[in-house]
Amino acid sequence: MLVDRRAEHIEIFFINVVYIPLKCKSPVLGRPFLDVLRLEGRFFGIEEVVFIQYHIRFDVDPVRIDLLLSFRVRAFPDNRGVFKRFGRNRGDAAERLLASDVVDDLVARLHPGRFFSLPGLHSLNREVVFPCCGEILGGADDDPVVRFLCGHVYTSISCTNPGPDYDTRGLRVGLASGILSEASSDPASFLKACNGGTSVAPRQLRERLVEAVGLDGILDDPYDLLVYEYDASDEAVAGSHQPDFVVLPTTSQQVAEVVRIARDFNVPVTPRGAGTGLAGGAIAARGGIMVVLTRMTKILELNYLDRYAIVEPGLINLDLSTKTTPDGYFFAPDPSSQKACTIGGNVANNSGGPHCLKYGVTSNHILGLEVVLPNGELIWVGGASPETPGVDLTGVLVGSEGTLGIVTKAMVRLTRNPEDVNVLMAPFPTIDSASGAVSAIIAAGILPAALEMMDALTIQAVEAAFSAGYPLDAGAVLLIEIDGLAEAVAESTDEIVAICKQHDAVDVRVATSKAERDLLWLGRKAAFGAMGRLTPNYYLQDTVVPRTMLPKTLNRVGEIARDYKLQIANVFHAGDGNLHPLILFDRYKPGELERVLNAGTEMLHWCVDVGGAISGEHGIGLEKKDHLTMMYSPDDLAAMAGLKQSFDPLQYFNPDKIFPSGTGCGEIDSLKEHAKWEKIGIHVV
Amino acid sequence: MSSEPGTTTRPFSELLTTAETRDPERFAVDERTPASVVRPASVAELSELVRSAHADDLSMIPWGGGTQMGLGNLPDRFDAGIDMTELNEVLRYDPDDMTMSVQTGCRLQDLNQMLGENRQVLPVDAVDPGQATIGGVTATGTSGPRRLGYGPLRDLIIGMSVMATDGTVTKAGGQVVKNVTGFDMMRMHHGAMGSLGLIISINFKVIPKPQSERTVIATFDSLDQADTAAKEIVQSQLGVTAVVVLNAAASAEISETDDGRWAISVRCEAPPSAVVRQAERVVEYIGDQAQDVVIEDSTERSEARWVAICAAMDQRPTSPDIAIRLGQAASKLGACAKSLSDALTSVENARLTLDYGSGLCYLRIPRGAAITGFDSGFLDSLSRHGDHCTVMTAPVEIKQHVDVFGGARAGFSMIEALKANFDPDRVLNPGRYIGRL
Repeated sequence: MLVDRRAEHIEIFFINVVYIPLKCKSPVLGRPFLDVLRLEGRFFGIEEVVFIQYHIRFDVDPVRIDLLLSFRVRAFPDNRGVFKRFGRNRGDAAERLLASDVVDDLVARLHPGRFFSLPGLHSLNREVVFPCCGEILGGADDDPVVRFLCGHVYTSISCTNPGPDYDTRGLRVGLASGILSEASSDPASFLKACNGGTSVAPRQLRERLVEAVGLDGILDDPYDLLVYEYDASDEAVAGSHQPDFVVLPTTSQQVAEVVRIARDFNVPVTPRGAGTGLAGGAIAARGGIMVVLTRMTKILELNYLDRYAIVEPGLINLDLSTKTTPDGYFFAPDPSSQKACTIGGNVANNSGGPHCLKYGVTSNHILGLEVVLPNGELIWVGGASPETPGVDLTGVLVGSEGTLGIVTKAMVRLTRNPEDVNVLMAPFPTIDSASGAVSAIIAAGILPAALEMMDALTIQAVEAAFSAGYPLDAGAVLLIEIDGLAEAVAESTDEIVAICKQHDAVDVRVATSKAERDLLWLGRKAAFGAMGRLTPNYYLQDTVVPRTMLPKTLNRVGEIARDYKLQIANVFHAGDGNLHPLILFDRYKPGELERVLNAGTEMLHWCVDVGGAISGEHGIGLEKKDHLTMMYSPDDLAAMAGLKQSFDPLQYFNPDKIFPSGTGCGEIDSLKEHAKWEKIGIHVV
Repeated sequence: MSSEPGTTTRPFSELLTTAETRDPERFAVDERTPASVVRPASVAELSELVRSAHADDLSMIPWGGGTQMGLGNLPDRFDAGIDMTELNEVLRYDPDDMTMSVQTGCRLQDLNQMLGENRQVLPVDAVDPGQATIGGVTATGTSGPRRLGYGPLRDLIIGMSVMATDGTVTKAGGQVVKNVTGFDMMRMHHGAMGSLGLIISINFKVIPKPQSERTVIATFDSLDQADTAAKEIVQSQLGVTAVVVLNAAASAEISETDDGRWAISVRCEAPPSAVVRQAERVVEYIGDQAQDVVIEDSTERSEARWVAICAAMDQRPTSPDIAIRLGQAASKLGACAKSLSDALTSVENARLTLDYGSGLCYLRIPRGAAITGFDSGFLDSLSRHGDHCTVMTAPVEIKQHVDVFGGARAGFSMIEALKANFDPDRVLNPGRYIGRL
């Protein structure tokens, strides 16, 4: 009833909300909540939930303790069919209805009369946000004992017939009694402590914000703020923090006005797109105002003559190419999250993607930006013709992770569709032989559009999830895309096939149809989600090494996996040396998370030692800021801080990001002083 | 500014040797000759010189090959020329990684020769690659017609080290082709004319040298015809790497015959058999209205033609021309050229080079040409034809009246703030950058 059971894939995000990561097993079931959530998935007609992170949040009020579950369902464009079959395919409204249905149904199924759902339904972009249920177990009416569910899932889920009898026992989850009693004894201070001490924002600030963006453009209800505590980074690594206000502006002027208000009230501003960032860049590290740009989704101009589009920052990456591809153009940056991430977010993070081997990163595709600067100015920089006199402010802003300005419009380069495209899938016996082929292809003077590698562990996961057609017995698979002029594609394809064979490729397959190409790519792009088949959690790294160091680096990654007794899967952009080792783990196994973090740090050290970098395309944000010193000296950082200082002397734009702890906010000068002393051998503590 | 703890800063004059001041006239900028010119042979030496000059409040102008030194407003003051050409070491070249790290004074031609031995190339156009240094091209931020195929130089730069006015060297980026670790300081310095720091070394990615190339050349009776052909080729799926239209005067400089027509040049770079077909298909696009259609069918001749075309980017102060660059989207370049031609009918030998792949229009006028009232008014009238307008080189008497970068524009307050942070005492290129910073 809820989901068409013939549909093959639906992507669902459960966004959790956190004050306390709950590292305990369900006292009722005696097993981790994870299992419980797997059961929960069944209410969607979903066979299994393959990757889950979850936390629990308390909300305290003097009378009652409500324990919340908040999660988010996102239906992607190609899953529109799901809505259609509900007969309510009317955009946001339909999604609201769907959400209500789901909530009501879930509540009804859980235990009629004993579950409650909470108000605060929102439909933002394509995200349906609905706080969900707790179960009232007993206690007095004015002092109920509540059990609840919560979840944070970022995953692909296979939908098949769940059968009529699902197991609801798992939902009878009790809260660890210790925490509950702690919360009960002094709810207010407990909440404050959990909340990181965020101050309550003054009433006037709210009034000004309402004036600027209207009542429906502001969220400050605790239930509503839940989903904005997070982005797609791992909470254990990057942390989480709740903003005081979320504003959802619809125009550039509104953004500028919000920034001026923030300035007047001296509160931090954190911009956010779809929240798919992997480094914590979209977390309101110091609370304040979060400017969420997902209501600004318009394509304002398509100019094929001059090959550009002007778009609003909340436009979803793939939506632009979907619109322009039939006309012969596409937007080249294609991060794996392109079905969900926004172009504003791509600009902030200078996102990459498999095709940046040939087409370059986001920075290469941004011609100009309309931006709100920390001084409140709303200006255009750059434009359709290059070499605008003066410092390349566009280039400086791209990749600055929202610390220098908020993009309100982007003029992006459209690339002409290639005349011809071939995708090759080449299985190799070992990673070494595949790496050899990569080097040989490059040495032959061929520049493929993409050159991706997956190791055996990844192949297993992907095949289990998608049956993309990768051979299970291969040690590594190369996915190679060649595009361009028909004649050149044909010539290069032959050459690449020959090179792969020389390097012991077993059976090179050339995808001839679009469907076949898409299937090969699906496996690669959804590889992270598929990892849920192997373990409940993964920690995704994003290091880069010079391409020739790849084989050694992969060996080292293997050693680290053995040393720390962890499984590590490798999916990466082989063409440009950008690794994505996925450290697989289960957060609820004691000590595992610590091993994972240590293994991650060891990898970073190795990559820097061999001449690489600690982030290729995901950014620094909160996750890696304390690792920045591995690459840069205090002098280097002080120079970067000079750039920040020039744009944002008040240091209120996306504070606490990028720069190592203790070097932000006015501490730049001391940093520089320290550098000088260090040079002559005096260590300043 | 205070000196480093534990070190003393010697006066700048004490650091000079006679050899270093022998030939200051050669390093004049806009007819202003520096008191001294230094040619440091090492970064350490440069560091000491810069620190001393700063401490003595001496203004510095860095020099590379000098091919772009006509660009910039008149210097407020010019005490010391810093000749960077001795810092010309290739620090690292990993052919298999397709990356290179070089010091600022390396000449483009030398680099491409070295790269060529591994069938690789740094696809950056320069007016005189034998002279132009990588540091100079980066600091002035000029990229030529091959931007269509390979992007501008700034897109190829992956790392940089820069010297601050206190002699400190800082780095950003790295040696890998994809990197979002920290701010992209390279983009701040690219095109900043060395006014926010002296570029010491540059890391960039290179590309496989195209296996072969061809250039298709044709002429048209009218600008409209050339404009249509150029736009169609840029918009096609042919994947050509440069498309340029020249007016008759500009064309005559290259082919030595002025037939009064507009000429198009299209650069094709691809594998050997594909390039033949690519060039043929370009000819089909050019259509029946074209005359004298020629395919330069050797890589050498094709390359030579593009070196000649790039002369439009010459910004030498010794240039016999006033050179002006207008930015205009490709679809409006034809109209831009038309109105410029109309405005310049009385000017003899006004040469126009229209770079359709980039969206830039280069105008060159002989310095002797009688242009009444070449002042900000004239420049304003020119700049109305484009999104932006830069005087790339001009005699002092003209520069006295105009900001060659067209003056402050949106975001200038940020540029001022950058200058205040990175060169608070205004000793690097003072007065020469946008807004006379």
